[in-house]
This record gives sequence, C-alpha cells and structure tokens, in this order.
Amino acid sequence: MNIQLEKLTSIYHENTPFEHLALNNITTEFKEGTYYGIIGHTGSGKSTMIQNLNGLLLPSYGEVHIGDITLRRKTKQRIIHLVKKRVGMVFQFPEHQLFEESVIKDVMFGPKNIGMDEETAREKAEYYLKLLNVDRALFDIPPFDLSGGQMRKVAIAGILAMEPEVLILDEPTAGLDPLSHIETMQLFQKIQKEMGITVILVTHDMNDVYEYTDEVKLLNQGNLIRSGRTEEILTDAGLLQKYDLEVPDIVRLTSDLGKKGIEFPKIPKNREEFINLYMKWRDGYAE
Amino acid sequence: MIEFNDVTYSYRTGNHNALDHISLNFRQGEWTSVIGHNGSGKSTLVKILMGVLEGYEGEIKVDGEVMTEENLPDIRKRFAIVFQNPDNQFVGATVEDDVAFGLENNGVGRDEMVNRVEEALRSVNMLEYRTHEPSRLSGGQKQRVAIAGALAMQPDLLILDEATSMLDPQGRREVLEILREIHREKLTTLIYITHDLAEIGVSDHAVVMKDGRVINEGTVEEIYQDTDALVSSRLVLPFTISLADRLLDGCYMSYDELVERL
Repeated sequence: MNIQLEKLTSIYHENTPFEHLALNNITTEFKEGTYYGIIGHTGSGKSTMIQNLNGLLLPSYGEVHIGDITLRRKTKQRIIHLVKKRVGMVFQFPEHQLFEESVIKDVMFGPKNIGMDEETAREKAEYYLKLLNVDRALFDIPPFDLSGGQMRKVAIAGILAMEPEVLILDEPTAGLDPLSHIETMQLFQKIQKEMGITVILVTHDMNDVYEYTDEVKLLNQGNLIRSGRTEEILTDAGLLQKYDLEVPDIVRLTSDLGKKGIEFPKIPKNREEFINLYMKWRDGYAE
Repeated sequence: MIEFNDVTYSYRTGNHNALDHISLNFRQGEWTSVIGHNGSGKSTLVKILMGVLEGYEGEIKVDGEVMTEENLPDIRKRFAIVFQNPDNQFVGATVEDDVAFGLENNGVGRDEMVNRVEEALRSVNMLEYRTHEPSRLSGGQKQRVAIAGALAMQPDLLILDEATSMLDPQGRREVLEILREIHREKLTTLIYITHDLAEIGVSDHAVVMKDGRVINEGTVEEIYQDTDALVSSRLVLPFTISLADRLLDGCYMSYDELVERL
C-alpha cells in the first residue's frame, strides 16, 4: 500500500488572527515496504505531516491517498476509522497512554478497537509482547508497575498488535537510555524487514536517520525541501547545515578523514562498516 | 562534602540490595558524575541523600556531620535538585514566577527575591524569557529554567537526576553548556546522575555503578581505561571513544585527536 500526498496544505486556525500555514502545497509519495525518515528543524511541519497520514488531521486543501482511501477536508469519521487500521502511530512517550488494568489487556485494546475478536486479539498481543522480549510473567500485572523502558515496549506492542501496513514513529527513543535506544531502533529495523511494512520515522537524531532509513523527506517551514535516498541527503553536509540539522557522526568523520587523504570507496553506513573500511585502507587493500 | 560510608539499602519488594555497601566521597566544588544503567542504584543514591528513602544501613556524613532524622530537614535545605521531566516541575504562570516559587516558600524578602531570580535567570541565559509562559518553551529552555529555580535557592550542592535524558540533542548541549559555565564560575558542587557516557566528559570525578555497587571510580580518563567494564555494565561507549577503542591504542581522546591519529 502506497501513500500519496497531493498538493497537501495544512493550515491551523484558518481565518483567525492565529492562522498558521503548517504545510504548504506538498506533493510526495511513501512507497510500500520502505523505511522513511522525516527530518527538519522544530516547526518545520514534521508532526503536522504525520498527523495527516493517519487521519488525526484532515487536509485544509489537497488530498492524502492511503492506498485506495482518500482523505480530504470533509472526509467522514467512518472513513478515517479505516485509515487507523492501516496506519499505526507510536507517539512520543507512548507509555503515557497506557491505561488498562493489565499489560495484556492494554496490548489487546487496539486490536479489539479495530474489530478483532477477543481470541485473535489475545494471540496477537502475546505474539508481539514476546517479540519485544516482555516476559510472560508480566502479562497480568498493571502496566504502571513496570519500569519506563518496559512500559514503552508494552505501548509499542499495542500498536504492532493491530498489524498496521504503515508504522509511524514519532521520536520513539526520546528519554530512553543509550542501550535501550539502540535496542529499540534495531527492533524497528527487524520488524520493518520481517513484516515488510512501511516505516516512517520522525526524529532529531540524524545518526538514526542515516543508519536505519532508506529514504528521507526534508521539511523546512512547511515546505518540502528535498525528498530522496538517505545516502544522498544525509551525506550533504552543506544542505543539512543550511537547515540547522546535524551531520551524522560517521559522515562527518569520513569527510574529515577524506581531507587528510584517507579515502574510502563509499561512505560507511554505521560504526562496524567504518571499522571494516578503515582496516582495509590501513592494510593497503583500499585499491 | 558528602561521604557515604558502607551504605546499604533494599526496597521492601526487592530481593537484592538496591545499594550494596556503597562508600563514596562527593568533594566540595567538584563535578561528580554518577553513571549507571537502569536499576544500577544511581537514583536510589539520590533518594537517600534527599531523605526520600529511610531505613538504610551505614552512615552518610555531610561536612563531617552524620546525617540523622533530626538534622535531615536542615541539611536537605542546602541541596537543590533538578529532575528528568521538564514538564513535571513547573508551578508558576511565568518563568520568573516559577523561579521565585522556592524562594517565596522559604520566606525570602521581596527585594532579595527579585535580585536572586534575576541573577539565576541570567546565569542560565534565560533572562529575556522572564515573562514567558514555561509551557511554551523548548525542552532545553525548560530545564534551564528548572536549573535557575534550583540556583536561586543558593544551594551548597546541586543534584541533576538525568536532567537531560528527555531532551533532544540541541537541548542536551544547551543544558550541559550552561552547567559547565555555572560550575566554572561559581565552583558549585555538582552531582550529575546519567546513563549516558557521552555526558561525563566535563566532570572532575566519575563513579560507575552496576547492580547497586560502585564498580569503578576516578577521573574520566581513568574510567575509560576499562571499556570492557563499561560495556558489561550495559553502558554504551560514545562515538569517538568506541572507534578509538577499536582502532587505536588507548581510547580516551577528543574527536580532533581521533581524526589526527587515524
């Protein structure tokens, strides 16, 4: 299932003194099975864009096509509900939205809400909790008794259990310790590959965008500046600096070594690849 | 300034010690970082120091005086703390009201209050936001206001309990930069609790905790001599350190040195 934005314009408080143009006439596409990063400085329109992708916001002008469903300014709630089955959203600090009396019930809530029967919902819930390494012994305790990291896993399992075709992640690692950060990002990568779903990641962390995504959309003040391959956009230091974004650590280091005459055949994607390329260079196999 | 002597504590529900025979020194005027993964005991350490948890074994001395139930309220007044979540610590309608809150509570007179609020906001570079609404600030700005609120109390010790962990990279840099300045100018004694090794670079002294024990302690350079111990404590080596560790001899170096030596 592909998502197309067609001349999408999003205006907050239209026709009031507080009118604010959050997205300006955006036409772009999210292709099935691809891992996207949406990047841009605070106020660039990232959040507004993702809220338009699952019906939380409707376009002020233009259209959003989610597969064969079209969202417009006046689309009915019944149609929007269909979109929520297909597009799952993990919000910032998703653990703040837990509310059920037990872990398993919390994870089952989403699937039941989109029409799965009790038994299927339980099956899905158990499957995804297991996938996220949540111990079975914790299934029946209140989610609020868990640690922050575990609560976040439960909240994420609740979204995955709905088996969406598109998964939107809004700053999914905010507030996690560095190790949980890595584990969480690797988990999303695994899910994306195994389930073949589209993932759309919104984050300030350019290292993650560079390492994990296939494609990037760069926004600034409501305009789509660039859309293309991650290796092209995230290695363009001038472009990133112009829009007040960080250059990924690996890209910066590779470029600084290049200035010293240490040239690699390609820019490595992560630390391991960097180490391999550097060792090859050092051993004189670079040619 | 603060001495932990063989302090042990266990939560009623836990079957192991949250703090297991801890002996530590936090010295006057130093920035001490306490690093550890979730569950390592670093937050328990702070809670005990703040008097939130009672019933520990061993003793804690503050300026040579053993902390007791009787003197705790007075000792406690000399400490200020900034917590993790920038949204959970605001009470005032404006930035300056918020910073003034603690002073008002302690009965500080109006003139002095105005001076202290102004000075505290200036030291965190937030004076121009004094009439703004706290909820509309960025995460980094919110934490800077929280730090101003703590500084306005003129504490002998400032504790930061994972104060940057919910911030984006820019907010993190802002807060660390401000703390560095404050520490340099006022020689404030700092205890900086974190799970992120990338943040300990500026500290005078660092303590690594794991499973309720202190497994390593020393200067930042000393801490990095045993990278295996750090990794086995579920800590993640910062970018520069991890590459230097894998590709060069010795691993404690700045980014520029790394580029130089590769």
